[in-house]
Amino acid sequence: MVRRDNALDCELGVVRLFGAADLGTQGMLSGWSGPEDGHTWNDGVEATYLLAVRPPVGRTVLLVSGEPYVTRARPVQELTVFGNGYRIQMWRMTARVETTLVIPLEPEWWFQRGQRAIMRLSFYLPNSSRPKDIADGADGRELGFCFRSLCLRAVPD
Amino acid sequence: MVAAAPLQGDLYQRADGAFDGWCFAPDRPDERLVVEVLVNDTVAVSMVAAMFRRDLLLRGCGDGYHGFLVRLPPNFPPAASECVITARERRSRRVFGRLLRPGPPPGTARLARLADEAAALVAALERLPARRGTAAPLRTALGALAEELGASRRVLWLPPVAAPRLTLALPVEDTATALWQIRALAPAAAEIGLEIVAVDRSGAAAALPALVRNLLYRRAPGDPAAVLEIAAEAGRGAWLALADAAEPSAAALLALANALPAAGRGVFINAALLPPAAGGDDAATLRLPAPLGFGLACDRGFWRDAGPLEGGAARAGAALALRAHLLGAPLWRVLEPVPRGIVRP
Repeated sequence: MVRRDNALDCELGVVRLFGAADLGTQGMLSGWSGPEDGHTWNDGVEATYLLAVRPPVGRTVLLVSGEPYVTRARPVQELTVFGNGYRIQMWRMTARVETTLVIPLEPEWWFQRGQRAIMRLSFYLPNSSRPKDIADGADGRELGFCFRSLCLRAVPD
Repeated sequence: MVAAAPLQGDLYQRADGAFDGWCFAPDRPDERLVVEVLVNDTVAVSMVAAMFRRDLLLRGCGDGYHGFLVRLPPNFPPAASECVITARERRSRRVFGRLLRPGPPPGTARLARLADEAAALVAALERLPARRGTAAPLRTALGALAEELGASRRVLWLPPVAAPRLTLALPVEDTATALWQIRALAPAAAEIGLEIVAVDRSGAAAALPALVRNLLYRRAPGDPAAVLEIAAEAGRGAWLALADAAEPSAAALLALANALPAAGRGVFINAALLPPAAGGDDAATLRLPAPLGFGLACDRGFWRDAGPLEGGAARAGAALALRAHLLGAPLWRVLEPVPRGIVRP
């Protein structure tokens, strides 16, 4: 069951920062490691995030910026995003650079729950790997993408 | 009447076109405030100010997580126009930073480009023996034109450096002196990959960013060590240097830049700074006897490892020297007068 109280109540247009200082663990349901300084990694092949907005919801786009975990031993990261079960988009990332994922969210994809519209996002990262398994340090978490910020924006009609 | 809650903050433009700043409410030190950045009074971006800035922590602004970094959407505003960028706290709508983003330079830039093209043509003419006689007066005329062009420019343009090698922290007391200092340093800027962070400690040089383009300007009180901290936060150079507040010179900076290793780490210290003057008066030791151009310099990695510095240049220099010894980083002293040799102590 979704823990409603943990959903991130999004304000359109406001950039929120992952990490201990701003988002903390807000919105994170499963598959996340602990928030760090200015970022949060996924931990495992699937990280689930819960967004909530006040209806009515128009066309929106979610901008998620971060950095894929790409090394010589793990040269490709694939990331597929599902929103309330809809497969939205897939990215194939081959460079460890700041990357912005542009995730369009159609109004009919949101679930209406009382006074809120809910979007359960799944970030599927099948190439997540433990750095210690590929001789890239002692980190035992299963990393795929380092999340830095998110921002939900309205798309003008 | 209810007094407005205190709010502190500032907004700066970075060399790469982005804007950074900070916003902090002293009576609510744990709150992350939402900042709106407006372009000509239209909200362009809003974000939570929750990025860590070491200078804020050192300045006692809560836990230091009150910074923000904003990149304007690519088509907002139209690139060809001058615009006013304003930062305000969203709930109270209090403005804490405002600056003018200049549009592209007026006609002078185009004239300068034409002059460069003409100079190239004249150079080509000079290579033809039959045309040498024609080329000479043309070159004289072009020289006069370039001189006029330079004189007509009211704004000093520092060359934009994509990946600066050296970030120079320049403590600023007033606009006129700062302009003179930056003019002295400008010729070397492109050659050594220099970016200058002017730190206005008294607020008396607020006009500086309008007079010098591609200058990183910060307004913050503090001792020279704090100036270096602010420059490290604002700049991107692999090496950090603290300018001698008295007489920076391009030649001295070139000497320093030549001595910097391409990779690796180290600390450079002006020999005149060590040992500190008897009585510990930093102000006395700050005025270096010769135009060395910088007081101390170190690589960014070492600066990060060495931890916070405080006090005047002499005290910071002594602390850096000690930490270089403790961390096993190479330490050089730069001897006077120019050209100065770099020797290991």
